[in-house]
Amino acid sequence: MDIAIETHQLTVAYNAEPAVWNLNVQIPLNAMTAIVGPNGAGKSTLLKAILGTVRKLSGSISLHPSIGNHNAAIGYVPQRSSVDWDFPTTVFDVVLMGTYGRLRWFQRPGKKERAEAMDALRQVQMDDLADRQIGELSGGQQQRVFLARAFVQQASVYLMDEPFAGVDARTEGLIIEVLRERQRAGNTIVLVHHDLASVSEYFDHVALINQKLVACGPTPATFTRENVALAYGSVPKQLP
Amino acid sequence: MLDFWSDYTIQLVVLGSAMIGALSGALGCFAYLRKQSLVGDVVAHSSLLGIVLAFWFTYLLTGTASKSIGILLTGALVAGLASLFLTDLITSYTRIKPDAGLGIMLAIFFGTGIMLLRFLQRSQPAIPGINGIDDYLFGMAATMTSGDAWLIAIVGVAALVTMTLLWHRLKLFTFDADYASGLGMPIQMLEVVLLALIVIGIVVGLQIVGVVLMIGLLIAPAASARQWTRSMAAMCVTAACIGAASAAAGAVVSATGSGLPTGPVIVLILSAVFAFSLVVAPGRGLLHRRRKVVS
Amino acid sequence: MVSEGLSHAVLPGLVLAFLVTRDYSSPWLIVSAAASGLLMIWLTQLLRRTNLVDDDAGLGVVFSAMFSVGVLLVSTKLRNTPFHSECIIDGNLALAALDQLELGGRDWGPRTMYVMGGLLCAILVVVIGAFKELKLCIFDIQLAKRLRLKPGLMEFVVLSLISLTTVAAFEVAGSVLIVALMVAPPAAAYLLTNRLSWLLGLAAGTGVVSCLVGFYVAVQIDTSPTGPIASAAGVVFLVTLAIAPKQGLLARWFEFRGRRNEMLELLVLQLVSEGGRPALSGLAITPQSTQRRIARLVDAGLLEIDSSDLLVTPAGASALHRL
Repeated sequence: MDIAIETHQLTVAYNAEPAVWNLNVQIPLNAMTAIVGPNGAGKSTLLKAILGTVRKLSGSISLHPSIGNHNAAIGYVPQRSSVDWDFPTTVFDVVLMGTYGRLRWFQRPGKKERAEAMDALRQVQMDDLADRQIGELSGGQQQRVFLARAFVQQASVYLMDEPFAGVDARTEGLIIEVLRERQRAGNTIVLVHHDLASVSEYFDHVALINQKLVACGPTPATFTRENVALAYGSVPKQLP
Repeated sequence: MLDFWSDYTIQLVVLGSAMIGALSGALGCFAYLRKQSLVGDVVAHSSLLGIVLAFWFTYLLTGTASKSIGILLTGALVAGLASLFLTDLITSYTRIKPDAGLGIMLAIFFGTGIMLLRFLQRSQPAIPGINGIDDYLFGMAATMTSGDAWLIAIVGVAALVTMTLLWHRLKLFTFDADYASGLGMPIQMLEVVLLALIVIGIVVGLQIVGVVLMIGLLIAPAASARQWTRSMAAMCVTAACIGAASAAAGAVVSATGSGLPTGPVIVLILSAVFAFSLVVAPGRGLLHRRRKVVS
Repeated sequence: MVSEGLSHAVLPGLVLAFLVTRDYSSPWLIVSAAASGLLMIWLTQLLRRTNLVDDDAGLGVVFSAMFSVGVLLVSTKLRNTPFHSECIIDGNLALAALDQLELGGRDWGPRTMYVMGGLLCAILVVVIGAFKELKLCIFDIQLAKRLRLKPGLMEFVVLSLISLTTVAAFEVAGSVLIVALMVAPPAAAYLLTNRLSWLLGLAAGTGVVSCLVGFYVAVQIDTSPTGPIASAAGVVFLVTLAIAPKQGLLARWFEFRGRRNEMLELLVLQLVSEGGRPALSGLAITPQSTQRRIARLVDAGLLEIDSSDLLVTPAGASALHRL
């Protein structure tokens, strides 16, 4: 199996506190991988390190050559709560932001970019709400807007930070459906995931981390009660 | 009122005030959307120290008292940025909360500014023009010269050009800095540009509303414009118009003989616009909400 | 920053009451100004509930509007009274002593002394009397609710006291000083202690020291005392900030350096244990810094130099295992 992203002895620290410690993780190409661990385990930090937005203290990250290394090569979906949803902008405008990475300095998005944004909205079934203010959306709709914005980047790898947090069941089903479609089209999907009960159902691969790596590999072999207990300190109630 | 349209001075003051109002209003949108309203208050108060120091140093160096706003506002800019830098230092390395950190910096810079101002005002031999610095407390549009107006126009055009050229990046950074960073944008540079724009928006407004009430001119146009608009571009333009109209109206009231300080007049006009916007703004205001509940 | 808002918002109440009574020492001034402060708090909370504006922006617009009303009233109606606009900023601390209280033909000393003294007593009574209730409301509002302590009422009482203090201080000290004295001394005390009772005492002490120093400076350079007192409060804070034993910048910086060095040393040990000296090439610190870490680890007996490579000693291995 080809490896899409590999971290080698990755350490990231905020001031004097390590968030991720000496982490070796392999994320396979063309698979759905969950990053699972307790709060403060460094899951979001791992995503940011792969994106290159936090400084590494040690180690390296290598990407598969097919991914490319231009600015928008990795599609990113930040946590929904990280922005102010009362910002004066429409659904369509937010999705259009996904094309900004491709624009040269001082260039504005043109016809092509607008068509792509509309396309991405269609994929997440939000095209009829394109002109809606983002403040008027439900949690699930907001999440779908973020997803569409990442898809516009036309990347082959997508990193998502808890896309199912505070989302209704219908949206969760729709998002999984869209992601599986992406996987069939050859994309690599990495999710920070909180709901332990659905890990086995949704993901091919899983990386259990708690600052350090606990286990990483195909879900059936990796996502065992022993490993979860190692990562969390005890087996959480959510797990049957 | 008769002499208003023929009096060159009044025309100048009104035009200058409108430019300042537009600039502060538009740049205030960034402060509002980044939730840095109170930062604006602190920068404004702190800049008094910079203004007084700039005045004093020019006097010591050249022996003449200059009230050129180019010099005074440079002092304000430096002091404003220094207070922000110190607040950041305090809040990121100790357990003092940002709110308290801002309050302290305000107290130190403004308090020291007032002390120095009163000291200079009483010093013998009297420094010519030092009493004019008092105008920076509550604003006095009437003292504007044509040189001042030109300077404001140049600063305004520069800020406008920067804003337009970097518009998409600034917008994305204001909305979602994490994502902008993920797209490979130079976010530290954007942060500096944005902060500089906000501080410029504050500093140019000082002449007409003064350091104490500057937060009103910076935030009220943005907060009102937010109610009427559905995009950030529209919000900035609307805020600029509200700022310009209110500042011009305030300058007229103040300059046509009443002798009132300009700042409070402008801020009261702006507050009325704000209250009006909150109530009647289409699709968002309180009236709209009530109608929705009834139906 | 609410106290910044309050110190501005009491002005219209103060001026209005003065316009009606025309008496600079009327108690109505204080009542009306305190009411005006509470009005500001009520308005900002009202704005918050609409969810139409950012909280800080709402506060900013409300207090600047109220202050504007006050300034305009002063500059139109009160041009040639003791209440001129310089007082708004500076207060009248130096003149406060001249306003004597006369009762039954006898001079009882400055009136302000009685007002502030009375207020101090009231605050002491509330703070000491309701100390544990107040403490609980500050730290754990949920528990306070369950114990039926009425945190809403408590908040109202505290806000009223703050508002009253603001007003009383405004008359003598103007609007700058109030923020300075309400924020800087508590913040300085907060850097020195963790206990609420100590915090209150230290804050009060720091405030008194700031005022004495500031007043002395004011007398020396012959200006109104407001600016110097605010500056002094600021300087006392800055000094505390620099040298406070645990929370000060210096202490924090040394602690930060220590923790960071410790972390880096562990990281070096970890990397060497997995790939020897070559593994250190992935470390994003300067080669000199890496050398220093290695030297420290060798001194501590956790690492040893083996010809050109590095080896983790058994002691080093057990240190890693503990991690």
